[in-house]
Amino acid sequence: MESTQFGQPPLFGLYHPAAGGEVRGRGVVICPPIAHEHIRAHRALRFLAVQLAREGFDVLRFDYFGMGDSAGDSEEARVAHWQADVGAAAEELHALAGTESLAVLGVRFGATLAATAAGLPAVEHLVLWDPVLDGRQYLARMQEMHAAMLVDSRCFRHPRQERPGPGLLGFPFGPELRAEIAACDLRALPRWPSECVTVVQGGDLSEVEPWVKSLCQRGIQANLRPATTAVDWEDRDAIGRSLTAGDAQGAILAALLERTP
Amino acid sequence: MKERACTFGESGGLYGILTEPEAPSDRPFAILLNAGLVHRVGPFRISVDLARRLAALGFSTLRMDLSGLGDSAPRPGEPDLHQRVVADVRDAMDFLALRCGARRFVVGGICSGAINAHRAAVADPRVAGLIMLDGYAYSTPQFLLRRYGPRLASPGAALRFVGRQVSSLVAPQPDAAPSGDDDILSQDFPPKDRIASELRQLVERNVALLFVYSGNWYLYFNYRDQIRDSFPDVPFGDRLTVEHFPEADHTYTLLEDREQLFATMLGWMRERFG
Repeated sequence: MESTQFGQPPLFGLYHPAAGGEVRGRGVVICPPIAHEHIRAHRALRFLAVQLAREGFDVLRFDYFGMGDSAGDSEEARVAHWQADVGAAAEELHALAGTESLAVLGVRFGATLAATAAGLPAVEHLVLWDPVLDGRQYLARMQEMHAAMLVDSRCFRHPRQERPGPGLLGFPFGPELRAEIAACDLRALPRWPSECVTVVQGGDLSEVEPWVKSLCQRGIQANLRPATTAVDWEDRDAIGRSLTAGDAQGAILAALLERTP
Repeated sequence: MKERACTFGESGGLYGILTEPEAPSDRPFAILLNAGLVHRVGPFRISVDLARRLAALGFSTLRMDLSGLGDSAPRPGEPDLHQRVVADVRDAMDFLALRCGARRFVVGGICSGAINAHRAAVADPRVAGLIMLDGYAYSTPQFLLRRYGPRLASPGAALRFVGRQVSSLVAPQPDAAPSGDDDILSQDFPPKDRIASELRQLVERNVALLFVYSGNWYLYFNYRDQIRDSFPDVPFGDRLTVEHFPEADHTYTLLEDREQLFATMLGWMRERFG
């Protein structure tokens, strides 16, 4: 594992070069979730990156502007920054590893950002784990969780009347950023950065299944890999907890290996 | 402000981010430890924000992952968790001394990070300051009165309380903090005598102490003088600063609470080491 800084303002990344067996000449950029989900997923994505590197992939994990160790604060962030960050990460991985082909793994809102990224070269395979399809619904759910937290006696001894401000589950999210997140809708995306899309989804498939079918009808090689482990993304009690990927990890690994030339 | 990733330790397996002010200074370096399993950024990026604010005041900060957490590799050959923590923080101090000329350090953390910071401070004389957020606390008569007094005002609650006390006499738990049916952040603190002895050592070394408690720690702490009352034989003098934010939660989720916390920590750093 090697640390790297790229872009301006600088983003922090961790590069896991292909190790061990076969070197595939193939890179994977991991686009993490945002906000509290970003922190929750850190351990699982690190583990996944190590596994992928062992399988011969060159892997880059990175933090968006205003997230993790990267420069800035989420209050100053915009969706367009984050979309550009994905492109910059792909460029950085190419510079580090010289890989010939690129796969992108996006998790939750990171899946939205991966699918809508700016400056991406041709993406051979896009893998989306528990993608946020509807930004409006996602934001509304975070706002509900925040409101419920304020009156939860396990968090606060007395119900809190918070001063108006940008706080959303511990992160400052300004009105512009919220509006931009709400405007993201993967179901209405006109163009896809890859002709090959795998969706790894835990738990309820009712929303994702028809969407994957609709992608196929548009000529995209889309397939759905259900995972029996449903990650508790929307469980308020789990906000501070590191998550376990369960069998989603195996499904992601298998999807990437299957599509490797 | 400059930030860079650092790997250190005997086999280079430890990982952290060093935040430095533009102009070098001879002030102590801060070292921030993991809160539970959360990686070095801290809950809601508290450690990132704090490190950058400290840099604006002229302090350098290393936010590090202890071995086996975040992006740090497990430490081979040291099975004891406490010894591992002490060795990890010592490696961080050695690294900062060698690379940056650091001579004195302030170590801090939240919850398990606070406990680990305490261990590191006791073990290494280079530590000049200790910040504990929701760390050790031991009951006192005033603590018990504040915690249980209002309940005793109600006859039903008083009967239930007496029942619980009888049960605890049957199965006593020496030195344990009081427990309740609403205990969600259960802690098992070490014997008070040991902590008293360690605090005395720190005071004798003139280590500055900042203890901050949130409302979530109400099972263990409920008034500002509780630390001094708990350890009457420790001559804290003006080395101890205690702050209590009874409205805040354990990880300062609300931005307004976090601002209060930062104001306390930055003010203390400036006053003690600025």
